[in-house]
Amino acid sequence: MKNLFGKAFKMFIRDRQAILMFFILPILFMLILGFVIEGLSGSATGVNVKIAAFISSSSLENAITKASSGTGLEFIFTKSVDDLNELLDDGKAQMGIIFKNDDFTFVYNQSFGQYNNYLKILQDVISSSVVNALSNVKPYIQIRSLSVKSGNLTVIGFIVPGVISIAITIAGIFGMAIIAGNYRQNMVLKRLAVTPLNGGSFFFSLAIVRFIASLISASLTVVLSEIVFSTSYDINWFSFLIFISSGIILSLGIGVILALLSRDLWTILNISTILSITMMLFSDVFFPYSIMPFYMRVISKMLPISYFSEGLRYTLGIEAMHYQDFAILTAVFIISGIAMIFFGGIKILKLERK
Amino acid sequence: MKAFWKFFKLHLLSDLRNRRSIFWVVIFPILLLVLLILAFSNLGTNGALNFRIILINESGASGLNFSDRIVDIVKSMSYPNKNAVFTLTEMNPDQKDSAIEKVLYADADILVVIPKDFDASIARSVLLSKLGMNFSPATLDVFYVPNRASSSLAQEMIGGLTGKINAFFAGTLGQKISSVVIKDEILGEIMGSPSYTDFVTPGILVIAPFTTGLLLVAPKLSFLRANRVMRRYASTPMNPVSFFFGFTFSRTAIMVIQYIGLAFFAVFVMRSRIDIFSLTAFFYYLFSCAVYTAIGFAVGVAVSSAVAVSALSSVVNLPLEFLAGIYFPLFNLPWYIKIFVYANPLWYATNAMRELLRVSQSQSPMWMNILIPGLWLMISMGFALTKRAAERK
Amino acid sequence: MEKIVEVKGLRKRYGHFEALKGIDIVLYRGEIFGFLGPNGAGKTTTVEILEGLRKPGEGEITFFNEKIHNAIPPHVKEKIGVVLQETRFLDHLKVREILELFASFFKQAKSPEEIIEMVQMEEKADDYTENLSGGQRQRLAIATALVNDPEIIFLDEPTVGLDPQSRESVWKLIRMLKNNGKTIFLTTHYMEEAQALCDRISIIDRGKIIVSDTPKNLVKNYGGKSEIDFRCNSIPLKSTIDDLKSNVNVVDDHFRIETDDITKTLEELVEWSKKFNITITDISLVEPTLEDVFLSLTGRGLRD
Repeated sequence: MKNLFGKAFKMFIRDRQAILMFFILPILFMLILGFVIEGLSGSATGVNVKIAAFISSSSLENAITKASSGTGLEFIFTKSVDDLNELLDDGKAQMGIIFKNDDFTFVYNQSFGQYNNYLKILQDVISSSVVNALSNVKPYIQIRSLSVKSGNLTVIGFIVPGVISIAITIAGIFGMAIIAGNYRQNMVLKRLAVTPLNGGSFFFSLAIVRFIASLISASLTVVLSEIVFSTSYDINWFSFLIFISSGIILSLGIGVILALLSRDLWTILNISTILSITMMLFSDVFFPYSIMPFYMRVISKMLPISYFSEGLRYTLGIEAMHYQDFAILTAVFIISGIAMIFFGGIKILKLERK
Repeated sequence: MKAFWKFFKLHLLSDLRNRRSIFWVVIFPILLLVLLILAFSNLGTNGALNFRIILINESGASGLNFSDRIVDIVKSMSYPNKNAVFTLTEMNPDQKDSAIEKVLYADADILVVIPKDFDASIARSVLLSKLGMNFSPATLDVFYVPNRASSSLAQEMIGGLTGKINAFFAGTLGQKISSVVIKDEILGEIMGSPSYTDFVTPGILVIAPFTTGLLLVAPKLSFLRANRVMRRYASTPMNPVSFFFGFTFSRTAIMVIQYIGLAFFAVFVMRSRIDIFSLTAFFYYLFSCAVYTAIGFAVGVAVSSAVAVSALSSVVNLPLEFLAGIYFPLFNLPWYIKIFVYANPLWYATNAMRELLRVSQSQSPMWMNILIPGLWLMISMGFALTKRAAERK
Repeated sequence: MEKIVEVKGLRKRYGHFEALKGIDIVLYRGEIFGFLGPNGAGKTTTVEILEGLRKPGEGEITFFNEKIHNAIPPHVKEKIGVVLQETRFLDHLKVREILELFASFFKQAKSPEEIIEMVQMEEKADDYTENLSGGQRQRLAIATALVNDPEIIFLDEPTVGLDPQSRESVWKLIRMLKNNGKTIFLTTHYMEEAQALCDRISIIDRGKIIVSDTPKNLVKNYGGKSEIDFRCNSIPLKSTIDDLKSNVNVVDDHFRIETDDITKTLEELVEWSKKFNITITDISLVEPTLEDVFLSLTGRGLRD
């Protein structure tokens, strides 16, 4: 076993592709997705929405400035419609409003067309409060918003763990599936199948090396994300390392299972690609459950990555989680991951022995 | 000419008979389109919003029922009612701590507490209002987690609700509410309220030929080189130009088939409203095909293992596509990420295709949409040719 | 005899390394010419220059009495057939289609059917290339070299990695080509292949041709002595053995005679056994091979 591990380690560090997959890719993913989602988050999550506003008639000015200050949203008042359009074009505002006496026109950036649905909630909020101000409706009730979570957390800080979990999962699945698929295709496994070697321990040695690499790169990614996005996590390193390990083990396990599906490396790559895209799009990493249609919520709940990012947020001190839930999650990840690697490995070699 | 046609026909046949090629050429783009539309097109629509709200009414029976009205309004907006946006859980005042915990542990998005003195406070306000005197509004307490998107969105929704409730109270008191027409428009759009499907279809029409260029050019060239087929060709009197154009045009033919298939699928199955008969879009598409084929040539010459090429390209694909703004628009990126966007030929292609398919105006000027991918074309081809020449010492 | 190809003083250097140090080769019409040498000797460089895959350095190359400058012109390539080492063809194409493709490269070409018949692949004509066995794939490679009905065919290690049966069938094919009047340039490092097929052989080592002749003459001149090993039913007396003119050595449990003329020695041995009434058992002959020729010329084995 020790010998096997040593060989697996040597093969790994000599494999440029593996290094790329396990070190460069997660960091690249974290940066790109992090920034793309951060750029979006303004509108997609409604937390940072900036609104450009142009008031065409001076009689409205008072009421509107008063009303806008009550919404808790950031308004940028412009001098002309062109200025407003420019702010939208540059993405400096996610929504523009042109106030006229009898009508309000809400202007969206073209590319945000698809997010209208959320912005339309805001449209309702803003127009009713402006109308109220114009009609001199007095506030009979008001809202006092109380944060149940103290601490100075940013939206991006909430998103980044999701991105990290995506990056690590994809690296794990691809990394393991490619190496196993490669060995299968190139008959390396067939050669091993004629030896008394146990398939479980062979794949285990491959997995351990990748696990260590992944663990290092995950920690690196978190630290780097703190620097790049100034997320100021309150990391519980002990649970972080344990949990991220469990997540890595699971994704490596899934990689082994995928390699089981076909002898053809291309087919394995295809399946991994589709799976990665599904995981990215349908987990609650990009968008919250609450605005997902029903079918999407169902798929999202079935994807381990949703739980991975949930647990990760907990260990980074962003989200609260019951300790027993966390323990169960970690245990399930580890046990199912190890089982997949071990039994998947045995099964693969068995397939070769046929 | 004979050899050109043979190369054209046989390379085309070889791919059309190949399951792997069919996956990347046909199945992958369609699956991607369907997945994206499934994921994003219904995001936040009426049927999709579902905030889990906990309501605690501390205001006891006092004869006044303003608080009950609030509860009724929230109830009417909750499942299983039509157009519901909330899933409502009502809890007792003594369960407040556990309710707050539920919000904290993400078991609920938001907690709304109607305080004890709410009814009395409203009654006083209404009375003072009737007398024309100043009053301070009654307060609804909303507990939420600011940085959790679903929670802050729910808080926003409740905020909108209070405006309506205020207007309602004012209305019952006989106050006139001015009526305003609400309109909306999308900046730069061409077709009139493009949906997500409209938005993403041009992007898919960029990804598809790009994937083809990468996976049906580079690994194939690597294969031909590694297995000495290229040398075998070189030992015949065949003019290499025949191979080049036969091979390239067979790729282009595949890309054109992709264009027609995908565009029809998007329009007739997914109900996209892109202008499929736009000739300029088609010409731009042909131009992009040349660019991606050239990139494929460069990669195929640079990397000798077909497996490495395909493994890497299927992984590197995703970040590139994100940086093209195919799935989401790109905003507020730091400069070091922006460089990649501005250098990414896919970004320009996506912009151009969106404009030419009559979805929305390009975010980059049209001449840039031709210049930058054109540079990619020339640099890739130049690289491929010099590397190839260097190999034939 | 008509010279098909003539190479004089061919040199080629890569940077400081001189791969070919002045090589002379002549190919006559209708012969099988064997080009032998260990890896790195300059074999591949020479063949690839002649196939038009590499630019020649200094020296003179003549094809069909026409001097070649720099690159081999297309009209010469029309008359050349090439089989590279272990060529694979595009996947998902049929044997017939590959031949059609190659036929399209030439001004005049035979029909794929004709070629398929020639290489006896009728049953495989509609199979995809990736489903062919190693031997069949090599036959296809040879088939592609025949589509233009070439006058000379270059075969580069045509039987590497093939099983004995496939190898035998490739040999048969090569002999058939010779019988059809083709000139064949064969490189190989299988000695038995060269011995079985070639009319003439050149051996190249370290960029120089060290010897050229018929296989028979090479073995005769450089191969050293043949060996006759035998046992006897009873152990003969020393004096009896001394009666033999040849020098007899005892090796392990048998006797060995080294000789230049195997027929003569055998006759003598038979006489001797009759004379002393000794029954010879387990007689075996070991004749020198090209391997020995190479060993004696260079001091090392071909496959080292």
